[in-house]
Amino acid sequence: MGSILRAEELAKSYRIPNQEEDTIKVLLGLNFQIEENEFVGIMGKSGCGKTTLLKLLGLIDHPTGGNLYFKEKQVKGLWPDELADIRRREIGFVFQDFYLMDSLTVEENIMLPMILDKAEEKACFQCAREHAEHFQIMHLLKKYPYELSGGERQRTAICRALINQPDLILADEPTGNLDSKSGKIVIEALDQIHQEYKKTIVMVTHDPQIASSCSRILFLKDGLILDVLEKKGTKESFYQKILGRMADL
Amino acid sequence: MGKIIEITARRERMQRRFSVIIYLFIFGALCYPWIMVGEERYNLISFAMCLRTEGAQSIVLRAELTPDPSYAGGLSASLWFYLVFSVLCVLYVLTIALRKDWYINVAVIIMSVVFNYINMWEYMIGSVCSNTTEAVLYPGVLLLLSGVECIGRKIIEVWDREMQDRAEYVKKEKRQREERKRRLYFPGKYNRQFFVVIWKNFVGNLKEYFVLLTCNGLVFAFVTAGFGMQTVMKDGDMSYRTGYPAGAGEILFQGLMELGMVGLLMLVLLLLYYLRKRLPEYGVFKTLGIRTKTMYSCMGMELGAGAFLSLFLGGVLGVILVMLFQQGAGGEISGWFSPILLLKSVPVMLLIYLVTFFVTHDLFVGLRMGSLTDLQMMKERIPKRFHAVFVAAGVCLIVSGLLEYRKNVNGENIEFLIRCILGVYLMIRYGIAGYIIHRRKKRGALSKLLKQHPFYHKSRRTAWYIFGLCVLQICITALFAVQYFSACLVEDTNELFPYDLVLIADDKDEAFLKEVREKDGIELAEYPMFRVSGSQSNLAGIASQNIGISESTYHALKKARDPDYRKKSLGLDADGEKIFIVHQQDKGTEAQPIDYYDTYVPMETPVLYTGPVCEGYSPDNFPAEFSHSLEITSFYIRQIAGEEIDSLIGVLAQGERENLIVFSDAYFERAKDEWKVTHPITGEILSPAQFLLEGIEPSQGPTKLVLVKAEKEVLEELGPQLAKFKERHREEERYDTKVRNSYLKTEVKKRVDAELRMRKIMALLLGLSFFAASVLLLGIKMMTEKRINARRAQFLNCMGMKKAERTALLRSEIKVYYFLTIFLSGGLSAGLVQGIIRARLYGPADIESLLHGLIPFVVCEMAVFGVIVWILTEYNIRQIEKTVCEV
Repeated sequence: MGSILRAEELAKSYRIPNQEEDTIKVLLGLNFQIEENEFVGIMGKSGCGKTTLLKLLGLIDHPTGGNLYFKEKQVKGLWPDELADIRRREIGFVFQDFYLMDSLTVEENIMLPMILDKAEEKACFQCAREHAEHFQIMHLLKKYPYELSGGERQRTAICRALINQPDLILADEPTGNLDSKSGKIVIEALDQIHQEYKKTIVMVTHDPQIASSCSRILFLKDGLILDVLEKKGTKESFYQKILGRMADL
Repeated sequence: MGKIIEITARRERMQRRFSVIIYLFIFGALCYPWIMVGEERYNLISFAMCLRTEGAQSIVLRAELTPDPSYAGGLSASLWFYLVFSVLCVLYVLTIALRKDWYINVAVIIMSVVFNYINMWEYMIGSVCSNTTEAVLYPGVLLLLSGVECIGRKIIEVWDREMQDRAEYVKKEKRQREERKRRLYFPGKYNRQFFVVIWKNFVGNLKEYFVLLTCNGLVFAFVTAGFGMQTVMKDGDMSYRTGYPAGAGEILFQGLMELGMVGLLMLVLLLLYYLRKRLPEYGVFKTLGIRTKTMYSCMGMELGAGAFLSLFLGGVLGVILVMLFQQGAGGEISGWFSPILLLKSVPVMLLIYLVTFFVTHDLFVGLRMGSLTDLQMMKERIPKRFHAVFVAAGVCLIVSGLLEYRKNVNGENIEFLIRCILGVYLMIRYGIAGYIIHRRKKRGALSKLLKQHPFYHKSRRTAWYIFGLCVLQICITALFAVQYFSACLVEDTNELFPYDLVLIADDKDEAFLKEVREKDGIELAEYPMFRVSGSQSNLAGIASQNIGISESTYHALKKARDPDYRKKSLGLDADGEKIFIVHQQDKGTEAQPIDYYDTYVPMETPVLYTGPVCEGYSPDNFPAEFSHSLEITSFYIRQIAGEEIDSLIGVLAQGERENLIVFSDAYFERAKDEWKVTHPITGEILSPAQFLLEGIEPSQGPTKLVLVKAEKEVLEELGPQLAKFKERHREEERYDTKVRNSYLKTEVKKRVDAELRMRKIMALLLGLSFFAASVLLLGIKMMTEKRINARRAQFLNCMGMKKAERTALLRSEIKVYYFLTIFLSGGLSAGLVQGIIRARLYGPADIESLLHGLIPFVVCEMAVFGVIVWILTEYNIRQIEKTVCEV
């Protein structure tokens, strides 16, 4: 198994508007590797750089220091359109606030990455239906996102993330805006993706219960990786370990 | 590597060939018989032989020179030099053949330079040559050839390298293109669903798009209407016929500039709002991996289609506006405009688009509106210190601005208006900050915390919004409304022209005047006058020409206008230092000084010269030796003893020129002849002979002011004689086409009518546009803050706040915006209107008429604005509360 993502001294800082010399350093040089078919969680307090890291891993933002390798290809040397191609074909995104387009139906939202990849119309519809059926939202295909519940919206987003059969799924607090029941459905769906589809998942979460589904957890603190926790034993014992580690954060 | 060696070898071969060819020319030159002694020509070798066989003395004698033993040495030395030169040349060719780089060609150049220097020295070869030119040029040819060889070699080298680099660059480009093609290979076509998605995404924001499109269309309509009216007006405005952009055309131009500015502001604001709304949606596409080119094409199509559609709709609306304008003119203006006008307007609009694009781009990037992450980090800091100082500075600026603005001499200068507006900004920015900080320190501040929250945390944005609204409101109430209602003060333009023909004649016109006097149906009055010229009367830098009359003439003219007029002293002095000015302009024209110094500084003590304009002389280009005359004599500098706005002989040039300058009788009597022999710089009285010595030929200039009342038919009969009169004064009219020697009431009245009409139309258009901009500005504020306000409402709802309390919170913020705007703009507008009344020297009747129209208008405008603000606020509240209900 090769690594799908590798970070070497990965750093990110933001320039403060109107103060040219001052910058806010969010990530201070991270080193880690994510193997294929891993389910990695990223945890940490608010403002520790979790979402920033996920944006970098999703090739949405550019690192300001260090190197990032996607499938052993250095990201720094890639052109914007190449990054767009990778995002479209090889990465699926699931966001906390769903990031669905209100002007499009659920079906159109799901097949959007395929449409942007110039896939055939027939194939788009077929894939959208297959995924909708799998995640039990078949009956919602002609509805609009604002007509759905939080859980339904997130399942739509998961379908969209999977439609181009990407190797990597990035999830930014996918249950953050959901009630516990919907959250459970979503996390089961992610589990299913990991187990059945053999996809690599990187998930940012605050919830130790959700995080216990991961195979490995990176704990971030003040822009650095404080600790890495591997899942050994049962889900319950892993949950207890996470709770213990979270107290240190 | 092998390739480089090959290229280098080729380059060196070329260099060698080039050098050999040039040196063959040099050898040829060395063999050329350039030395001519007597009748015989020699080359260097034959000359050496001759020197050896005949001796130097014989050569010198043949050259018809005085024999001197030094020639032998000099000629030999010359030949030795040439020998060394030849040897160096041979050596150089040999080194080329041997492919050695010994730089002997540099030595050859140095030798050539030496030849050039010494060849014509005494006793050298050049000195015995009878063909001097050839002898001088010969070493030059050698230098030229050796120089060309040296430079040519370098050029071949550089050129070759350049070609190599270029070839490499082209290859690299090709490689990159191929790599790009390979790496970004993305075959196939987007399916139908792609277009459905793009269309649906676009249609989802149709409301905002419609607002943008309407604004675009309106701006283009104004541009088209402006060009249309300009063309239509050419028939009605005399100034166009003279080829001078003035009068109504100038009003139109200024109005269009102001409209353009407000249009630009509206477009930038709307585009910013639109992009802020649309970019997150395109952000979804970007995150999901849309190709950059595809995304920009979609955005370009969206904006381009809007621009095209707005050009079409705006064009149609513009044409309708011009037609309405023609209709409103009551058929007086008969000109029509061609569709080519649209072709004129489109480039202007495209220019506006271009500026809008750059300004929007800069603002968008500068304010980091495209990046939510960065935007969240932006914090607006409320000014925490020196509030009182800045507010006091603001008040001082406003007071000083108003005090200056009310002076007639300042001509309602925009500089003072800007000063007042700057003061308003300081008051808003620091006044609000000071008040909020002060309130926070007081007891019970917590109860007001939520109300003050937006003003505390968005203090800069709040200040800019209120300031923007204030400026727009001030422009509506104090500028455009005053422009409209002051133009309405002129009820009948016939009143502005008491005479049908005004002639500014001199003694040579006596024969013509006699004919006029003797003609039946003519009522004629004559008064003595002379020209009174300013230094520079207007911003175009043209010296004004006015009419100088005596106090008695003034009273006579007044009496002629008003039989009930009672004479009163004007307080003028016998030295001519004190003057009385009658600004001959209509009530709708802004105040203007009689004279400017330089081109911008109005003169409270005008520099007025008695006599026609002395071209080339103005106070700022006085010869240094005469500069004292400005200070020591009262010849130029006048004190204004009094002034009024009236049309005693007619509004001939709207107060910009042809005003009446009244002098005391005593001074007038003296000056009316004296100016003809007065030095234009020093003020000294000179004889005509002295004038000629100074290089100045005094022209007589006008001496008689002839005022004629007659029927149109009678004046038409005078046509041929009048044409001759004009022809005679053509030279006087040359300096300034606006100053004439004859003014026909019908012509000037037509122009003034056009000006007044244009002034009213532009005031209405500008007022409406600025009002629309005010509403738009407030609307954009509400729209951009809707999301954050919705979040706050949701939060407050969760905290248990009632709907009524939440809506009251939103209403209270807008109330502050509205009432602060009304209070500040109302206060400043009142000050500015009072200033305008003072500056334009309005009498009580005029003030009453003006205020009679102005006050109800301002009250209505503010009320309408209030109603619109209320509607917008309620709509906004409903939208926000909807999100609360959804949650």
